[in-house]
Amino acid sequence: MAESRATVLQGTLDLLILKALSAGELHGLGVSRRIEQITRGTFSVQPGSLFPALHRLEEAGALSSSWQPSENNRRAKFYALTKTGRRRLGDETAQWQRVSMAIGHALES
Amino acid sequence: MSRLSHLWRNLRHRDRVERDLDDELKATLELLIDEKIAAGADPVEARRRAMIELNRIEPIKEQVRDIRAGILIDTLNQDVKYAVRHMRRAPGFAAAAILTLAFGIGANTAMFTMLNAIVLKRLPIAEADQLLAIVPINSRGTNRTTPMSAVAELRDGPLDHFCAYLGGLVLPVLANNTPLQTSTTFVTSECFSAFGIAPILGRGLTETDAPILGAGAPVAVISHRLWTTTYNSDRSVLGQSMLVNNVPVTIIGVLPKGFIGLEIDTGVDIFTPFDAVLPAARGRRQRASYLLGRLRPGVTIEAATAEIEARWPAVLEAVLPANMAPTERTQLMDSKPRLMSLGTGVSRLRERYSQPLMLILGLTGLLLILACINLGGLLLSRLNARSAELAVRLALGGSRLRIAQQMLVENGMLSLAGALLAMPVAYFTAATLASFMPPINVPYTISFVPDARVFALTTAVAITVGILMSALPVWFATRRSTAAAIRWDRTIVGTTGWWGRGLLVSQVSLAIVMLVNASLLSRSLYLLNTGDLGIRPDNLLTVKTWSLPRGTVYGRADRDGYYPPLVEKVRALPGVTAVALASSSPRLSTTSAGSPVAWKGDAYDNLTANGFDSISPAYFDTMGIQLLAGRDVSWQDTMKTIPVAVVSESLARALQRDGDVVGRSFTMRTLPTDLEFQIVGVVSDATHGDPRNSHTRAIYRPILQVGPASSLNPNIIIQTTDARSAASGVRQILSDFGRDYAQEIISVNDLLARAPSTERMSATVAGAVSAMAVLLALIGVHGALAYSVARRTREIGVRLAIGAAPAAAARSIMREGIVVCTLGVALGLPLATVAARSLRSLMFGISENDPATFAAAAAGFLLLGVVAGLAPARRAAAVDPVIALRAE
Repeated sequence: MAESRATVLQGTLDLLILKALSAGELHGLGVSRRIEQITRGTFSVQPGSLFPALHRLEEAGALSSSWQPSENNRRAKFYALTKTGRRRLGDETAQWQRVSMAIGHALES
Repeated sequence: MSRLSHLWRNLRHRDRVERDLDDELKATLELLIDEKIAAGADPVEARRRAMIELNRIEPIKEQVRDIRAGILIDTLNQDVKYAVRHMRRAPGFAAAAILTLAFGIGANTAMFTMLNAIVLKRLPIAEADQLLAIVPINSRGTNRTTPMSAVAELRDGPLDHFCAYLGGLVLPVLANNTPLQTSTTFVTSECFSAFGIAPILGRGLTETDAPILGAGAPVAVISHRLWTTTYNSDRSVLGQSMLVNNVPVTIIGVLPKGFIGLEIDTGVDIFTPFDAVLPAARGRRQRASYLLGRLRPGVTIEAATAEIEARWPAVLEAVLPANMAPTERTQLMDSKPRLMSLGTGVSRLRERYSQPLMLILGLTGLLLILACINLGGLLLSRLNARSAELAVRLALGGSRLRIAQQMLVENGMLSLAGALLAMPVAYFTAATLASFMPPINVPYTISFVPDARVFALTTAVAITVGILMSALPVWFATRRSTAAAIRWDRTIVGTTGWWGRGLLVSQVSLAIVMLVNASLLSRSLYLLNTGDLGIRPDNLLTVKTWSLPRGTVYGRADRDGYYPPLVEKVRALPGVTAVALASSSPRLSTTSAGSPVAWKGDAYDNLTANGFDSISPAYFDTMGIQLLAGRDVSWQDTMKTIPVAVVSESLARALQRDGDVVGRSFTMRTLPTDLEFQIVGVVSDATHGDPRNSHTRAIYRPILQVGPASSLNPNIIIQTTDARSAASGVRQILSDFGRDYAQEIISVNDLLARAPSTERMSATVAGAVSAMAVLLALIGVHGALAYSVARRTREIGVRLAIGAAPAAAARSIMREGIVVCTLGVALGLPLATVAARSLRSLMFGISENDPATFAAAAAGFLLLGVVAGLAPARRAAAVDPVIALRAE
């Protein structure tokens, strides 16, 4: 069942990344930290899954990237949501809410 | 599409993407270390822990890389696999599609190869298009050759490197002890700089070698091809002597590879000064076929034309001889010089074949369109069959774009496979077409092998075809609503749909256009081949002779002692019933514009004679031409007696209405001097190969009265019942005489069959192409009907179950086929009329509106509608209601 969990996680990860970036642009590590923060430590994203996901989203046009100085004045690659990304966040949020509601109902019945 | 641009960036700037990724991960490591230090760890420990956290940098990079390059390739890969699977499931469809495309694309490639070789190819020189020639055109549109001394008069004119060029003379050549049949060209010194080429070995012709006025030196510059073939690329060729027209000339230079003069059909191998190997005509300078050069810098073509035009009368005044007849002078003075680009060289093939080639290209283009329509229709049917699948994909969230991409890939693969298979098709078609071109004295140099330009075109065609044949189905696939498409499978469907029907009708009408025109062309060809030629070609052999290199010099010397005994010897061969000599007979085609003729003392007007043969006695008997009045020529007509001629009936009647012309004298305008003949006989008209010119105004003169200017070797024409022994006999006799050899021995019937080569080529290709078109139309209609039956099985089942007769089901299918064909015929016939009008010049003995041809084609297509419907109708009648309904 490892495979099915991976896909679920992947979908969730994309959603989390988009959500993390919705407040403003962040570099890779920043995204990771923000996710930890907004999920109250439930998800800790490993670099091994974070970077492929960031690049995949960028490739799909949901993110854009640029090199900028970081908070402690190091050069870092910052990611930002694009219009597509914003729309996708909306779609995926709605989808997720439907699914979670459905699952919730199913479990309660 | 941004995805494409990403892919492009990733492939193009691989290094940058890679470096970027590297930097990003390094930066992250630094950030991580900073974080740990801020949390209180010492720098070394912080680095160690950060490294552990990020320790799988390489695998991360690997994963990112996969994502970066992969997305499009992944989907393409999927599409290709999917397409292959689909084709495997419908191998018949795939094979039909690929074959159709292979023929469509192949035929077009072949035609373009021919067009490229004959019409489009430039001379292999720099800025070929800027090579200009002055062509004098008079009010009647015919261009006049100018004495080459006009070059001297116009030397300071607007053309740089101005020179005279007289090309493509076939003179006997002995080079490196090898007898050659090749072309010699006379040039003045500036010609090579006009072409913009310099010898790769030795030197070119200097002003002293090849002056504009006065005799040139006996030197020659040879082509690279002659140097490699005859001299094995030996550098010591310079200074060697070769015989051209039996005059020894010294080789002084070798031209660069590929350059073979302006005459691109055969090419020129030897360039010599004027008057070096062929004696100058008495009292007058040689004519040049072209006065050519390049524009001086800063001079426009309009300014140059204006200047030359302004100076032209003075130039003619200076170069035309004083003793010229006033009427003739007026005609020449009347001519206007035009500047013409020689960028594509000079080609008789082009003159003869561009029009039929264009026509055939049009036909093959139509065939390709038809193939696309056919495939579009087939794809549309298949799409309907797959509509449920597509609908499900759409419903499951597959994007329309994604589905379109997949269809493009599928069709792209089909057209690519078609294009690959088209290559051999193109090669063989081009080779076949090339075999229609009649050989002349020197073998053709034009290559009909497809080149880069042709390949580029084929690829472009293949891509266009892929897109064209996808366009409609894709439009449909993405337009139709999901719900409708899913329902589709559940409904009872009536017909193929208006779109499908429209495609079928257009296929049929295109096919009928092609069929009608092909039939008209083949009828013309048949009439041409069976038309009355005015000669009896049966049992005739013609022997083309050519001088042995060390044979006697051309000209009159000793002809009287050579030809009569030669004819006598051949006449004595077993089986031979008649023998004659003729300078150029039978002619393949009479293309010459003709020379003006007039009664002696009269001025020339519009009357021209367009056949001019030198013949031996008994020529008319041998050829089956009737002597109508007067006498035949005889061996007693020699240079010592008064020049006589026998004329054809047409010429006799043109000279004098009652045709009673025997005993009178006429003059004929030729260069260098006019000729005068006394008419001794009148013979029936003969066409010498082309029934369209059944009334040739011909002059026949005794072969022993021909002067040195006509240096052609005569053909021996033999009437015999035993062709084989006559052929070997005549070879033996010629070799015994030791002057000539037999270059080619061929029956006159075979020779005549070559003659209407343009018509034969057009008719053959049009026939083949239209046969393919008809076949495609048949496949199209049949396929659509069969598909219709398959779709309607349930409906038919229901009808049969509630009591309909099986015949009614069959009838409705048949009706559909007939309706489509009737509409196609109704639409196609007017189109065919328009197309046929453009072919008028290729037709003979048949009107382009020939009702029988049109009616036959129309009937044929109605029959096609019936034939195409037979099998599907039978299948419809055989539907078993039980089985059909069980499927529900």
